[in-house]
Amino acid sequence: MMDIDQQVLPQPLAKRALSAHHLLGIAISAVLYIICFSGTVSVFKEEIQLWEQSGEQAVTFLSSEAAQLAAQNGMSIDPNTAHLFIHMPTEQNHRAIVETDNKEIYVDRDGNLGPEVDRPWSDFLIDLHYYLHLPKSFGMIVVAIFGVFLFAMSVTGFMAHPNIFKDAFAFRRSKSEQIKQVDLHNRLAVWTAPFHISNSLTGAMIGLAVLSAAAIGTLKYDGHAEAVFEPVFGAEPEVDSTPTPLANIIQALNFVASKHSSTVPLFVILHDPGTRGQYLQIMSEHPRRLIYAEKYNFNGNGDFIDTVGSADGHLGQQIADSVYKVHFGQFGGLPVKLAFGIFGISLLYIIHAGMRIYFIKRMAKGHPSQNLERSWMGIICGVPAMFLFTLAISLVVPAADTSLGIIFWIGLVVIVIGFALRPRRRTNLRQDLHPSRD
Amino acid sequence: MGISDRASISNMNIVIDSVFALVGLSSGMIGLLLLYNSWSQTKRSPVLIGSGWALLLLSLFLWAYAGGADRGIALGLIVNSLLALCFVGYSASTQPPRKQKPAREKSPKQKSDQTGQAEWVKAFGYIIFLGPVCGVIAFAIAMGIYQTLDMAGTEKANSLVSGLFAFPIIWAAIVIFCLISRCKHLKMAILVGAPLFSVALLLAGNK
Repeated sequence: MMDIDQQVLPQPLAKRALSAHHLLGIAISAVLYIICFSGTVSVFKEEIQLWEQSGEQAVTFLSSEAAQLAAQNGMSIDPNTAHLFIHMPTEQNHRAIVETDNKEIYVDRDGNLGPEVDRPWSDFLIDLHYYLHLPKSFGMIVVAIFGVFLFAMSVTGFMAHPNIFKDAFAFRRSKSEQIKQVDLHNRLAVWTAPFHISNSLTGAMIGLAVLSAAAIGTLKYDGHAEAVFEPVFGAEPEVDSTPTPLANIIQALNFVASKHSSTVPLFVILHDPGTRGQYLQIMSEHPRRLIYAEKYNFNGNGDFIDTVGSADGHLGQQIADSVYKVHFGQFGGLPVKLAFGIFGISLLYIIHAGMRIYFIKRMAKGHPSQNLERSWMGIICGVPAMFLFTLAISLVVPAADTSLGIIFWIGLVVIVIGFALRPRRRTNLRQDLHPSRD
Repeated sequence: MGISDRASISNMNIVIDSVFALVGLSSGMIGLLLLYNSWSQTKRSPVLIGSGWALLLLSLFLWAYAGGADRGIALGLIVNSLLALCFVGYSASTQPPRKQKPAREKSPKQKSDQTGQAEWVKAFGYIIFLGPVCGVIAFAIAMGIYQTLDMAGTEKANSLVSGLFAFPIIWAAIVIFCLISRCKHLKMAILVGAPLFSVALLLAGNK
């Protein structure tokens, strides 16, 4: 897909790298486009969630007393839950939520329960980007494999282009469509490389961690895969189910507010709530760091024990805790999200331009692939169309909320087939090759 | 310390961060301008290119001061990438419009769609076969790296995260190696030898 530069630089390695790039590209582009499109939209998932739940009460601040009441109210509706989370309101998300193992409910600024959380389209979006709507563990691995291939595509792209820096700003808009597309493909790919390399690696690492944990758990932790991550995210204490009053969240939140005032509490997490073995964590964001949050640990009385070490522990802990924010561009508010949106669109265009180059080359060699080209256009147009369609369905037909994934995939297949079977006529590529005839 | 003191310190920090960010932005912009100018010339100046890269690197350090060590560097990379895209856009805007020349057409060969589909089926088949095989090999090697670090006494969190990141990187590297390597013996040696060595390490470390 970088043939112009290839003609100038006939190094065998570059040629072989180009072949590998070409082969990987045509094999993975369609699914990669879907993953990247959903990922680009997912960057704005907080905003989408706010929009989806716009009727609920905005909460800009939840006091420690209100958080305590919210926890008590959460326990009253799901007393046997093993975990209780309070999603604290933040600058980006003016909502407070109490979550148990089975329920997720809004709370108002005083800690009183509101309606249940219902964000079907956001859930559809996240399920698509994380799992491609496949069973979760399997889907996550499949998506991760595409991350691996995207990384391989980036590396082969660079290998196939030894003059990558010399041509770093070249965009020969006045040349043929093929050269134009090659330049766009290469320039966007080079200058957005920090984004797509870090995103492909973090995405792949997240998904494949399931496999690694299973293996390490079997080898070293008697089959307990969860124990593998204890050196990074900390261990849960021994379970003691003797009933006791709910943990003192007020004291813990006040401790964080007074001793770590520059941090922003994101979650209050209560393990085994209402038992003697209960254990309280407050995840608090460090605004000038890439880490998701430091975890401050407290006992049931709200006395501070220690931190997990995400902010100042081992390098591995800090790196592991930074993966989420790096992947989703959550480290600089809306400006960084917008930048990630631009990079995401660039990546989508890189994928599309790569395929266009492939089809143009086939056309120029006298091997047009019109059905395949039209099918590809079906994917390019079908994915955004089905995103809008499922969004409309979720708004108009709430009963269909659980079927948005099925609707998306069936609709996409229908659109792709529809594009492929369109009556043959002069295509864009033909126009590109023969502009004077139109 | 009173609330007003804290507020004034906070305001001062914001001003200092903004100054660093502004200087970082300027440094990145000048660095890119130097690279743009140098790479646009037929005869390239190593001094200009070196200065351009140095200024880009400096901009990352300045962003690190402005936005926090790790976060600031990430912000710097984002800003420099966006600036570079602006330069590419400018480069495109300076090009004359495309001349409408008729291109020569090669007559389409018969069954061209079928050949295209066959190429796609071949690519899918190759990837479906190659992907999992390379994945298994990479998995073994990554676990071997984890085990080696563990046996060497590296902190558990560090060895775990190294192993987790090594897995996709090695997987991609093996896919690329399989696709571009011509030497069958070297291919076999690496694809069989490395995972076997890793498995041996795993067995030795987990008796």
